[in-house]
Amino acid sequence: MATSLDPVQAPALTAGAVGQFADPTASSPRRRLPQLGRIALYLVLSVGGFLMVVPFLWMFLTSLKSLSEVNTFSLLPEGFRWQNYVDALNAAPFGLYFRNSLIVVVGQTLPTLAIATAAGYALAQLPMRGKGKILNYFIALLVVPFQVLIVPLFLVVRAIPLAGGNDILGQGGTGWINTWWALIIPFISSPLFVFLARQFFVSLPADLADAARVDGVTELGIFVRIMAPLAKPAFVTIALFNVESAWNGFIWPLVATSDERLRPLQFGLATFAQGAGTIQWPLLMAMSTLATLPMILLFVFGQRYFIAGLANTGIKG
Amino acid sequence: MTAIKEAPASRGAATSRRPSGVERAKSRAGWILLAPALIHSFIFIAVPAIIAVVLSFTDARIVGRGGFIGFDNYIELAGDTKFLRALGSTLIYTAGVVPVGMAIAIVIALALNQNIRARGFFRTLFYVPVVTSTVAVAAVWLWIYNPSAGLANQVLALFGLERSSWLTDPDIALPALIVIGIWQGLGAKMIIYLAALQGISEELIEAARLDGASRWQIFWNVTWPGLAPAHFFVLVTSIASSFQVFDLVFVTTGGGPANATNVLTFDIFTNAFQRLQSGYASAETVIMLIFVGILIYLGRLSQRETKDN
Amino acid sequence: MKRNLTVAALFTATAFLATGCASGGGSGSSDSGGDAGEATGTLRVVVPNFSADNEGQAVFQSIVDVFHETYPNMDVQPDFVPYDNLNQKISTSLASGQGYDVVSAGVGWVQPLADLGALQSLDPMGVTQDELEESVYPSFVPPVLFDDEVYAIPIVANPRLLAYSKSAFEAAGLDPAQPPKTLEELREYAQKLTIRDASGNITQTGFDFWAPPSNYRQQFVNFFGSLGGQMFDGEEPTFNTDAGVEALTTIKEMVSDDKTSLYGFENTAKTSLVSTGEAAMGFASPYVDCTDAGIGAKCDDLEYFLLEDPDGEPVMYTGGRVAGVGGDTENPEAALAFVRAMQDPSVQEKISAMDVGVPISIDAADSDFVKSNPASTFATEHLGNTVSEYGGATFLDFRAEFGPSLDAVILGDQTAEDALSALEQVALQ
Repeated sequence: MATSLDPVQAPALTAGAVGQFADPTASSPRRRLPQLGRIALYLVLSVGGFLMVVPFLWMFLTSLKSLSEVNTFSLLPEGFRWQNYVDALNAAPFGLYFRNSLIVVVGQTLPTLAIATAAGYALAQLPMRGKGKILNYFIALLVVPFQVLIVPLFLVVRAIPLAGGNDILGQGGTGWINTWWALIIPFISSPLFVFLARQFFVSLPADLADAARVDGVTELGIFVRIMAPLAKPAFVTIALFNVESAWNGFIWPLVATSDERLRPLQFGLATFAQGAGTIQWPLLMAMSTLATLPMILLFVFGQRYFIAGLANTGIKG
Repeated sequence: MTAIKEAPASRGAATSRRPSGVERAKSRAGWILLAPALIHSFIFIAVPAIIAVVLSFTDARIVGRGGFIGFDNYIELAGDTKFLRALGSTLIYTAGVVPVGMAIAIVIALALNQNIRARGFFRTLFYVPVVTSTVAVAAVWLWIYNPSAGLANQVLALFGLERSSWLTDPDIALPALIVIGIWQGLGAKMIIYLAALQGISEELIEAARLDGASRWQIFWNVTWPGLAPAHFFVLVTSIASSFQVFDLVFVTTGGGPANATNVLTFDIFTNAFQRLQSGYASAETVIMLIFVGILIYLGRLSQRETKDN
Repeated sequence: MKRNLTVAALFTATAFLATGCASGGGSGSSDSGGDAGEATGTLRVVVPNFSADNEGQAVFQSIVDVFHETYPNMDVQPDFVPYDNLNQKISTSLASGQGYDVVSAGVGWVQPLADLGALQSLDPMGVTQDELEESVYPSFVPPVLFDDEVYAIPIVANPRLLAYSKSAFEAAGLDPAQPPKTLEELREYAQKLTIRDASGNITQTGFDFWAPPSNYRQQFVNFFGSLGGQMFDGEEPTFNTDAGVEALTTIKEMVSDDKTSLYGFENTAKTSLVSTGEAAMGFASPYVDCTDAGIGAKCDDLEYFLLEDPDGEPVMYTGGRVAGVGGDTENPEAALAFVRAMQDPSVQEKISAMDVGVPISIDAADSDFVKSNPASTFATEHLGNTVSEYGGATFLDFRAEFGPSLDAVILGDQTAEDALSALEQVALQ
């Protein structure tokens, strides 16, 4: 990592960056890349981008094929059978499944955005005894594979006191099993997102918070009104990741519920892949495409917040 | 920011200027903000994880039915060639996926952070694998790796190389799976870096430029250190997710051929739910956690110099 | 010090949770012993592979309708699960003490589930081995016995057939009326039927095993059966024999030496290659769609056949769906009535259509579904000559090793003798 830039200069710059550069317009002009480099960049991005979306394209194009067309691999369908989408939607109560997944996604993501970021902020910016150990605790939790946690988590959720006919000791009833609570509450926070939030907040300067303290803003106010807006990309990232995992959840909803009225979209998708030897590929892919679209739209919307320099604009505002 | 809020109770920053009071208020606020996540993770992850650890000392086939057998599971694991091979495969998989995946993700994120045309479109392209159905991913990669007429073999033929059986060749299957793993994990890593890049001060870069620093110098001295927290996060989560790779294996190779891609989580799944040996599977998990812990610790050491605190 | 105490206390508490009494549960009020017509309560039923689509729901409702004829006041709560996740449901239900009242599963699962207490003996309820042997095809009876008692009732068979293309036979100079009967002939025919292009790529598979990697189990059981072998005799493994070695070696030679098929190759849709015309001969499903939406006119070119055992009897591999009464149900009589409802001829037919199987009751042979396509008709005709994959309480352990071990032999890493001896050890544990 040895470079020629004067090593003394870097810390000086860091200190300067926070307060001194007051004029927002001064930073706007970006140096344009040389023409040749630009062409190469577009070329690499285009080829790479195409490699990324081939499976998605195949998924979409397969959703327009007839069953027998899927046997041999091909991209383009012989004809566009949009009817597959109608058939798929009619094959199972997908309206119900979509609704259920939506409830779970919203129910998990909104609390996660509050709980995980608050914890991440505390670990990054506030002086607490043993916070290094607490961070290690969260990291340790995120490496436990879920396959092993399924049964113990089931027991915990079943033993929630005073729920589902349970007594105060969590015995005698079914707890939260087969309820919305089981699908939502165990996932309203996650060590992964606490860790992620912490890593974002740790690189934000403390000066602003200190200034606010002098102005008499409460600690909670500093988090909500000053620091959180600076970490918009972190919030967007956490939201994207959590929506994605909640939307694609399969094993836990399957284990924790038995009622059809609680089961999610992925469960509906799995029905097309059952049956010995006959996977309903076109219908499966049609529903998979429909299930993926909201995720892509969410990203298209969310990535607008990934604009370089946003954090600094926030500081000035 | 000028609005004057009511001074918080007695030890508020404005009223009592004693640093210890401010520090105490900050600390107290910290615990309040941390509490929900701490309590939640304890109930829904730590307790189940501790149950799993306890289970690893039992011969339970089904959780709740088994007697304590001390370290017998661990002793058996030490001689279980299938498990040892799975451990090895997982380490190889991790060593293959994590560094390469991180490097590519940084490059892509930097490229997509430039002020280029159709930036949002390109970003979306690279994100799409994250949300594409695993079944579709498997179908396409199985075709690419198809031993007779797949794309991979056509590329080899282009260079006059001999055809390979890819996922059905015990020697090639794991490396071939690593390539899919890198491909699949790229989008998520890219997002983290992209988000982290937003936090790097534009002014800092501009100042360095005014000082006459080259693009390369700016990258190494401003951008790279600014990404340190993101590096650490991506490193830890990549190691963790590489150790937990399951879905991909389940839909592409099913652990085969001849256990060549039987990675740890797949072996744990097999023991826990195919064989219904919960105690044994839990012991495997404990060993796995020890290995992940060591790797993360080593990763952390390598980051010491650039890490923020 | 203080922290150590906390940790210890925590450990004890969770130890209690992990190993302690998983009490409670149950399934509502029961009225066993009373009149069936008066009985109330809820019956929890776990049914793998009942797709949650409208078709699967309708089939399940038809079972409930039959059940309600005798238990009109009893609620039924289904739990639809893919087969891949059945064990996860069963382990959580057992761990939490909330077992199911009715468990439907694959034929090989009866003995391990009985051993775990997830199923209970039907003997006290009057279901006898003799009765089963009269009502269903006899080869399905041994897999549902555990400790000489009946633990489940067979519902539907899921056989695997062998099929060949008549035109491919003609093109290779083989008589389309004379399919191979022995493993030796099969191997020889496969060599003649394989077509490769100039660079050695297979363009027509000679014999398709229709198996992804690590999944040559059923094919082995079938080949072994054609040499007169049975996997298990009760709980006793009986596959480590000369016939077992010969069957496994033959697969290895066909795949790795003759290369009449690509190891582990499946087409994108995972359908059998012989039904799509990609293979001249191979394993096939017991259902074929001869309409234009399916394979259409190709149906006329397909013939079905089976290998014959040393006595000249055809041998067909079959899996199957069974159903039994949950180990800790409070309503065993009602649960049994539900199992009986699944066995009802009209229901069997509906499940068969959904499961791509054939009804298992002897008197179901002439049902409409069976006659609807040549593959089902052929499969039903041979239900008396089947071999299955099952094997005692350790079957789940055995099965987890079975596929990968066969792989090692097929890929030439291990001899058939070594692999089968090692597998025998697993089965004997």
